[in-house]
Amino acid sequence: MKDLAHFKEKIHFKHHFLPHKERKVRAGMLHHKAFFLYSLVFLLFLGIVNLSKTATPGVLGYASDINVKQLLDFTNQERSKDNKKPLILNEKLSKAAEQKAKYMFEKNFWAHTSPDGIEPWKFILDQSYDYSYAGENLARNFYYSKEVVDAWIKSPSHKENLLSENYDEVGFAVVNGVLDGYETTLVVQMFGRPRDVNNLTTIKDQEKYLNSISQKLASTENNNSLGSSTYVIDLPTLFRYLSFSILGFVLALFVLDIYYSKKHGIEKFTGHTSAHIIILVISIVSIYVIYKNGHVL
Amino acid sequence: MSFKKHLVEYIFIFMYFSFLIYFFNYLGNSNYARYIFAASLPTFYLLWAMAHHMFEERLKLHIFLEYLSISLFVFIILLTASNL
Repeated sequence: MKDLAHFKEKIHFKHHFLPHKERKVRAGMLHHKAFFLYSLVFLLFLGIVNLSKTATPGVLGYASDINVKQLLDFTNQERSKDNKKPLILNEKLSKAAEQKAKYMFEKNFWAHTSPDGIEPWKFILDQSYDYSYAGENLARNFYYSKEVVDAWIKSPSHKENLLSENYDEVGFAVVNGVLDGYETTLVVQMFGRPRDVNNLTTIKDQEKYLNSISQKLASTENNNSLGSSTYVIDLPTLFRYLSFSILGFVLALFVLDIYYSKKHGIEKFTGHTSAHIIILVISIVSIYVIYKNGHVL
Repeated sequence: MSFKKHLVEYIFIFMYFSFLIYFFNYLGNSNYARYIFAASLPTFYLLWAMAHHMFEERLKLHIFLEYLSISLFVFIILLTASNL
């Protein structure tokens, strides 16, 4: 009797994952009640995560590993590949980039020209940088410096800026803040050529500035304009992996449902499994395509 | 409904969804575009399913709940992936 009960229990467990031949139904985990439960669990999870963000600051958030030194190195690597002279890091341009990034957070916009009509050049002129040529590249929500420069190189207009021979100097700002209600990392790259060549930054000045950045980086954690944010758990990555995992699991169960039902001749009066598979595949693709991080402007 | 007719519908759905992905990827900088995509994908799916099953005369409560639950599930997953 004990063996029979154990056997029945085993059969019952199996039908959480496989269709039921006698009852002609899908696996228990594909029942509509199960989907409502998954949705509820996900909503609860979202609620807990959002509560934890305020309860445990510095643990959950948007983590990126982008810094000025790497951005400068990768930019100059791309220029050397194209036989262009390297750009020198200029403190005034970096400050202008930082002011621009902060202004974007303050006014909640993501564009070269602000909604109130302020152009990038104003930030450069505010730093008393008198230029004959100037340019700006923007990026948001990338994780690594290399990804940022690669994205600029992939975009023809940004590539033109990055490899232009009209510029001698460059400035960067990496600023974390909240844009459209989301924690965001903005990268601003500003190019320039001073009107007076005597004002060109020297390699010595650049080294001095880079050293000051390293020192500031060592003493600053989140919300800086120089480098990475250091959350223990990166929420976008966590959410993306979680979404992929659950969609993949459900998708696998539906594929198994088709295979097992065909093999055992189980005719079920349900919705179309193939249609469910299509929407799940589309959801996975859309998370990969639309919900990816990193945009340039 | 024959397999061939189903296939035509599936191809149409797949192409429509692919267009949605392409379109919303074009608008990708905006978080609001992500919200709209998260809502439009399952809404269209649910509407298609209802129309399809009504046409087939097999729209029952449990089938409606099946599509509703999957649509809701997809909506919440996409919302989660929006970096909430």
